[in-house]
Amino acid sequence: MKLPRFAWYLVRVALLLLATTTLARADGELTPPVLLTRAAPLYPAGAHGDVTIVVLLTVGADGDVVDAAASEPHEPFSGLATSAARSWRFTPAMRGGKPVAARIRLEVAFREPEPEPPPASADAGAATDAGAPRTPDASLPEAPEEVHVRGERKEASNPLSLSRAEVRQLPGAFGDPFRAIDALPGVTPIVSGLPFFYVRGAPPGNTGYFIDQIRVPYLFHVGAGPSVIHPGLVERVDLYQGSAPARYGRYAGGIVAAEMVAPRADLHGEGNVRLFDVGALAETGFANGKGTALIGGRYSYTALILSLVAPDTTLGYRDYQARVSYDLTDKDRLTLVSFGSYDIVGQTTNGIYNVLFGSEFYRADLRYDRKLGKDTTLRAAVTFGYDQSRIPDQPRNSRDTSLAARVILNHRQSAALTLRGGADITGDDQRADIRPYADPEDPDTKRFNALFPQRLDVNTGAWVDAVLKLGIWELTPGLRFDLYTSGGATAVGIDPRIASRIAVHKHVRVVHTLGLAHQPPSFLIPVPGLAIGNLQGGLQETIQSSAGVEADLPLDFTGSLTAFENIFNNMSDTLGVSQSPGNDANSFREPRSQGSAMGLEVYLRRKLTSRIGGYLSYTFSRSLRTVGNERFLSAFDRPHVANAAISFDLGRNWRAGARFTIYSGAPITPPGSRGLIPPPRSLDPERDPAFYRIDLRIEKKWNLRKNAWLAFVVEMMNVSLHKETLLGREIGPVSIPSIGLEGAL
Amino acid sequence: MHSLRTLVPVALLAAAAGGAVYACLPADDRPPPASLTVTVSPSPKTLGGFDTSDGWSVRFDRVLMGFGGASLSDTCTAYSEANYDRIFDLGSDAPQKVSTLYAIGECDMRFRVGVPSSDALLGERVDDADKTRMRTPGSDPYLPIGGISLEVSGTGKKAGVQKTFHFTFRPRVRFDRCGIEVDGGVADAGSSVSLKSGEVQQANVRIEAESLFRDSTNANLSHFRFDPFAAADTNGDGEITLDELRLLPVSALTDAGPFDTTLNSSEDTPDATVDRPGRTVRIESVGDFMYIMLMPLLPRLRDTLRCRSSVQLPRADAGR
Repeated sequence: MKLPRFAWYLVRVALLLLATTTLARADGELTPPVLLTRAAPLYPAGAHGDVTIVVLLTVGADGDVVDAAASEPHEPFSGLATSAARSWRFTPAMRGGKPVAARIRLEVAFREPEPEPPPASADAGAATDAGAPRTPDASLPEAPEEVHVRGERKEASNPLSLSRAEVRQLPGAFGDPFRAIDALPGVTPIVSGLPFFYVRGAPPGNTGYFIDQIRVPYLFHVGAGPSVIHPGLVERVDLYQGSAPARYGRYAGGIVAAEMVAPRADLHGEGNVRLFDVGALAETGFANGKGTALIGGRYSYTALILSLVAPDTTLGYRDYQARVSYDLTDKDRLTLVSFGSYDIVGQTTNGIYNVLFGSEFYRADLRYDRKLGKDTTLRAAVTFGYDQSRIPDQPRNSRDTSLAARVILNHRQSAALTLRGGADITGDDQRADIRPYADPEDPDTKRFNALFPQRLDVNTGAWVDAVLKLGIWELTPGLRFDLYTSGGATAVGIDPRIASRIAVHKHVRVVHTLGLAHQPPSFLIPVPGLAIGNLQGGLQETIQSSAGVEADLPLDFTGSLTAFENIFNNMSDTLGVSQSPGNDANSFREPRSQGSAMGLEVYLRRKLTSRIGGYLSYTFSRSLRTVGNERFLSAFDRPHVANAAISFDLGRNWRAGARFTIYSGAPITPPGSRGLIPPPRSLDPERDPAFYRIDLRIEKKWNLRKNAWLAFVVEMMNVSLHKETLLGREIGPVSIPSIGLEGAL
Repeated sequence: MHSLRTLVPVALLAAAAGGAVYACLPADDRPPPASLTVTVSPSPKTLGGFDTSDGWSVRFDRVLMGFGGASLSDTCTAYSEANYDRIFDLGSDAPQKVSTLYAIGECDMRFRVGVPSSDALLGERVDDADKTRMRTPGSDPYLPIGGISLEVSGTGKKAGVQKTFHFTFRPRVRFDRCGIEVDGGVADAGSSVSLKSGEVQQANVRIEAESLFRDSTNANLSHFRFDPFAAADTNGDGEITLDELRLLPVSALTDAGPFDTTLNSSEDTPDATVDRPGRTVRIESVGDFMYIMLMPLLPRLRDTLRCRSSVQLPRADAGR
């Protein structure tokens, strides 16, 4: 029986001091360098097999890596190994009590992604740090020692993963991994450029966003703004289109889970100056590498630019990120992560400043990671959150002050069995200012007050899953239990989920997923501080299933073909069922509906960071809703959604890329129905015209010195200036230009 | 470098803690707004009837109207909008509330007569059956599909002859730029409301159903006439219908009074061809004249001000 493979990618670094060739003289005994920090290299997308790269490192007297070279080329592994190794930090070699430069050899072993994670990293965030001991024993022995370092992993539930390095080359994404989500199969945009989308027929309000396991209300700044997290902090973004692992609960649609980069103790950073904003990120270590500290953020000066053309209007956004970690022992780590986002649009009339749109959210997450022996990790964390929004047309704020705690345990029982489990509790104090100036008879006001009452929401959950390897069959059964309470109402969600991956051939895998997901009623789009209260109408429920095949193709291409079907029960999909969303619809309605979505997804890709890389994603789907006895197409049913991108190296550090996006128009509401008792909707309605856009990107990069580079980037979304028609109205063209300098050290 | 490594963690700790608890979104610290309560009430003639210049005594049995969407133009600082709608039976003398707006500044007030929305509140003597009927799709020569925005029924009596009428109007009509009527048109009033902080104001919209029987859109020159309407009852059943009025040439009115079409819109043309958003309507019949030209004359802001109207007829070939 073969050794089991796990859903998570494992990079195993066998730190082997094969020889210590000293640059110092032989007067005194040489103490070899001791590895303090290391960034986990990612297993390259599209590559296959287990590969070991021998890297020759020169460690300076200050502990920094002066040079790194592979003993022999084996791309893309050798490049990744040397690149990662350059960022590692050591205590310098010592001779006679003085630090000296030294040369050492390391073996960096890449192991092909496993379908399930190893026990040491069984949870996305929990394991990131706990399973990657950044500061091994300070007295690293000269004898060869094997050190485990966690890298990219792939779940049997088959998320679509986007690494920051790759997304940086995707035109129209502006370097933001989150911005690339709408290019993935299964994702149906509402409007081009706006960060709200349907995922396999599930509405935007049913998609959960997590950053390092921390729930956030949204990922993007106002309008078509950038992401709320500096892209340099994002290691990878996973999109679970359905049947997400049991650790992700309380969302009945897709899951977007971002993982932050692991802490690094060497001083490094990056920054960018663009047409509309400036951003930067810096991290360094302290306490001899036991601790790390990171700060980052972005600030827009759109208000300054806008004031030149519309002095009465202000538009601004900003965000910050901070992280401090400290290794209490070689098995314990304490980490504080905090980030926040702020957006505002205002206008001054009659000398009075009006906030037209405003929202913000902040998170502070204190986590404790502990290794319990060789095969078990534990994370305990407490998260404080504060979300607030200005309610449109109502001069008052609505806010959610939350406190959450979670514990996650991962245990590798054997090579064939890994157990994962956890529990969490979240309390959300939902409040809104009393509306000082309001017509009490206004149906909008009444509906708003009924839909968003002041109350305390407490959600308690527990989950467990197992990763089984039975020969060529990898199976991940899971179960989560959630108890929802809101304003005195209670509901229970029991969500069984299972994922299966069968390697029918060396290069071909068959993947199945099936799961049940529950969610409290959700607002039409995620808005900080606005959550429907009292479990009105009960929980939403989705049965999510998919079956697909993925294959490794020649020329480093990978491809997948997946069929999916989602069955929606009791959904609060206001957007999808609105009869005439542009007019008679009201944001504060919450009509319940049944529905289904089925489709076929095609995904063909070659790594965008390759000399010539690209991808093609296509989704053919049909999304239906039923309200009462009426069955109709979802308001944003788009049968065809296709994205294609290409990125190529022009030589001399020039790189160019283009992306083409096209999708079907949305169904047209029957004409003349505004204000009327609506006529039955057709299952084969006329549609708005199809929309397409072309995005371009070109970059010139200068490598300045070790790990330092500068790049000039010109990028534009929708260079074709194509206008989109939505619900019979022409919009735009929504085009976003970006010219800027980016750099890192 | 060493000092940096000491400073940065301290700064980050402060940022992490501070950022988590500091909320930036400003509170609402604007000065208190004025409140403006919009009401509707019937004109005396709508309530008690009126006599025409050609000797008819006209009384209304019921005037049912979908009314709402009250809002203010951008020159006011709006604090709170309440652009919902209601259904009014204009058989009651007392003003009935439409909605209350909160704002500061000088601006234009807007409102609409239209098919009631699903949220429409019911005024006095209006029930759910009325709402359902008004929201049920129907058609007429001017709109291929639409509900009922205005329903007018009544009787005309003259010398022992009695004619009943029951007209339904389906278009949505938006009103704005209300001002003093000058030569049948609207003087550019600039701002129809002036709202200062803390004030409590009321703006009544008077509904003049009798305007459906004018022989001109110029209220200062026109007369109320019913003979042409009575003459439209060609089948002699005593009930005047819109279809019958469409068969009656507009000359029946032009011959009797100062008929013109130049008063309602800057887009109007003097040769009785009226440009409306989405279509051009040629006023050829009494029915055309009443449906397209007279119906928008019913509302009067603050009982006197005439408003510019925009009749929404969605299809260019509708009715022809």
